Amino acid sequence: MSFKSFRRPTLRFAGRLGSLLSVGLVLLSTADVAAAADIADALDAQEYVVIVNKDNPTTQLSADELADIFLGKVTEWPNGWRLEPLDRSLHSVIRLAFTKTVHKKSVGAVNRYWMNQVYSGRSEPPKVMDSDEKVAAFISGNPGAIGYVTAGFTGPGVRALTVVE
Amino acid sequence: MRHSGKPLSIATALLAIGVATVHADGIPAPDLVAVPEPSSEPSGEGANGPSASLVPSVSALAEEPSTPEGETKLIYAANRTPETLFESPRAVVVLTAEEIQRRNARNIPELLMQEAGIFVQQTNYGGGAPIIRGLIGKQILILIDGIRLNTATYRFGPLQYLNTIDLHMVERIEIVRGVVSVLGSDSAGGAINIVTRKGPGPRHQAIGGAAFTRFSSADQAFSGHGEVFGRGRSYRFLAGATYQTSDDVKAGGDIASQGATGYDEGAANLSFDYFVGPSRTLSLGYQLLQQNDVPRTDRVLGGRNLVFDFDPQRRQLLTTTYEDFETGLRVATYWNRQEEGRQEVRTSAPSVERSLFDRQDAFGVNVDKDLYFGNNYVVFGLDYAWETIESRRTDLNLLTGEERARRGNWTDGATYQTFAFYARDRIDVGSWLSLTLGGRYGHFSSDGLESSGLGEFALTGTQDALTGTVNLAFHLTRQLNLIGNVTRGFRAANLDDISVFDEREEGTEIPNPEIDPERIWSYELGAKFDSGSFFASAFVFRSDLSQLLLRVPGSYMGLPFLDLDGNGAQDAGEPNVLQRLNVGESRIQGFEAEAHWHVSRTLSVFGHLTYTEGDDLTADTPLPRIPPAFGAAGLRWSGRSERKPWAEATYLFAGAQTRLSPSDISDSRIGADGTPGYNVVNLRGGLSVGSVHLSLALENLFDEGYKYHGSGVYRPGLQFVLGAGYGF
Repeated sequence: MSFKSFRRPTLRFAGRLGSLLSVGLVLLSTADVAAAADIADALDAQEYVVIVNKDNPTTQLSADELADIFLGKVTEWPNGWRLEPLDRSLHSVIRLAFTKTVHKKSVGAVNRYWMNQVYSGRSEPPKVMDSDEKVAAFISGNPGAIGYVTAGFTGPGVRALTVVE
Repeated sequence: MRHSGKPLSIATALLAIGVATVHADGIPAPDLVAVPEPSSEPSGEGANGPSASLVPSVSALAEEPSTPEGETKLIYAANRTPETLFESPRAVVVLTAEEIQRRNARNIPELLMQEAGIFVQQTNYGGGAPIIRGLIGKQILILIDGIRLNTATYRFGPLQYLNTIDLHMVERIEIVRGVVSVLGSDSAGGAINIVTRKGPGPRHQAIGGAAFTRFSSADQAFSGHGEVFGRGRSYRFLAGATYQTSDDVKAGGDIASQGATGYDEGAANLSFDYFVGPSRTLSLGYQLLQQNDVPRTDRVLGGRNLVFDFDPQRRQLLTTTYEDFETGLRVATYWNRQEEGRQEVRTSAPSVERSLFDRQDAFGVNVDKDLYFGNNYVVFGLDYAWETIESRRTDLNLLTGEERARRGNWTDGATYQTFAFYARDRIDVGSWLSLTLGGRYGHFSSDGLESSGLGEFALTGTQDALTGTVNLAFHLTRQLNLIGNVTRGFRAANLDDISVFDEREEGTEIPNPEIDPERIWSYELGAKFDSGSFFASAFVFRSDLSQLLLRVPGSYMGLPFLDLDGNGAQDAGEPNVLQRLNVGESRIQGFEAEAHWHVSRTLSVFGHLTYTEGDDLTADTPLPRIPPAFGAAGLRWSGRSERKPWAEATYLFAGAQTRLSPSDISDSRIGADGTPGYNVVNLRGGLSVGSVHLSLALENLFDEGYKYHGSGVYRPGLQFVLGAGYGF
């Protein structure tokens, strides 16, 4: 093995590169702490409610059942209606809040799960809506749909679903 | 007292990584590029024509960069996990099923001839070797569904094995230009991952089938493919078979029909997925392709051989895979068998027919796992493979009928093992920097015994190599990334390097199992822009290769010659020793640029340009087989009506290549004058009528006589290419 033959120049180069990267990372990380704090505050303040079509007989779900629905593990309601989960915009705080409390994972981890599903042709991710109004409008016209909106939002043709731990 | 800056550097690094890691999950991370979401309509007609796309027809989110067609391409090969082209900090290309169908190429090498950064050399019409960043042959890693196709006997120079993959079973092709450290050895120039078609996607019919046919006029090439597929609640499958035959190729210009080009081919493939659960899949796959009587055109037309046929050229791949998307675990096992028969009659010995046969059997397992913690996305795993070879030769005296067994191309019964562990961590530092750190440790061992009239030579030896990569992607805006990459790669010596035994004029080359891996340092600077309607990328690169294996005077038992009588003096009949030693150095640099602009929902323009320069620093000459500057430009129209008509005009060009190495000059495929440039125009179009999809192409519109630099065969002249597909 010629490990010694490349060890010294390799480590020297890695050390120099590492030093440069370290300084840059600290600066960037420090600068972004304030932004992270703002988002964390918004995250804590974000409340949402899960809604379904007003004709849907289901009145409550557990968080685990909700997670299974939004990961595509469950595809039908107990009455046989086809489930159509609706997710929210990738970078929205409401999505971060929902993912954190229901999936108990990062949005990146859930996103990666769907990347693998799509890449393998196995399954498809939920539709994405970028506003409470669009979510409510879709659900009111699709009996099997389920989504989440800002707490306090109301709309015709939908009602809230209780989520229990 | 001298103070070292090292502790400060280390402490700062740890602090930075720690700060980056504990950032709240709420920070919008740059790796949150939208997953392609389902289209609003069921895809009855899709990328593979009337049989319906067997992968979900998807459209990207309105808020994320996407094409008007809603196309978001994913690539696995760059980091062993799916990521979008924009997200990947590497120079990557993905050919989708739709693009594959439009080009209606004869085979995979010819399909790649229009791609950015890839130059395809053809020794014969049954060949087709990709050159990426100036490197070819065993320096290009070919994968099928992430499983290595390269065997321990892949040699330097053009290889034909990319053409042993049936194009009809291909869903898409991923190309990474440059060293891919997590994939390890053989990827010094880049990696090509062939993603095969599986059963239908989630929105498709339960049982169906399709048939495709293709005909091209210049080579009278006909191919027919039939398949059946289906999907149930807990399974999906696809099974297909292909037959292809071609005659001698009529080139363009003043070049007459080229003999010794046509051949036959048959293939079959099977894919079966069992859905263990909503996020877990157990898969079984099998592929077989066999080519018969594939002539080596340059040797026959060049007069060196009266006969030179590869017969058979056969490849089989059996794979089993278990994937759990929720835990991020993937386990794959495989058996990869490649067989090559060769019949030769040399002009210098017309009464002797040489029959060679080589068989490589590789058994392997790959285990991959990914996980998130904080802002880190980690992928790690291990690869193991064990390979054995069979190699023999028989010389038949055509006059007397006498047969004589001779040494094959490699040491018969030799074995080769590889073990590797890799890890890659992507760290999102805030919202505008992604840092990827990757490393791979590889251990390689060879074994075997070369028995010859000059003695016995053991092939027992081991090699170890460590690679690493640092990728930086600065997200200046949501649409613009600036990229910097530094990668240290290696290419472990394989059995082709180790088991060589060749009696030459200047000496006898004997095995050298103590050689080390070749090394490469790769540097890249690039940028990617993606606004949805406009995508562009540009990279400049430099690769420094060292410890390259060269055939030079060596030694055996401390002497520079084979001391057959043991007297310590070189007597008559005692040849000089030649060996492959790690003494070479070279440098390759260049740039690659590509762009694709959707001018409107129906019209798009595209183009790319690649320039490469290579120097052999040891010999102070240009490197061999470096492509000239080459590129393409085109215009595509896609109608929105129910029949989905489309039309495309493409201009392919390359400059002349007159910067030649000594081996280029002596190569009958190139010569002292080098290779002229070319300018070729292709027109294509198609539409769907019910369940039938039709396409027509006029290729080489101006009947240019041309060939790719280093090729032994000219490309077809003006020809029409018909394609038809039917789904049921």
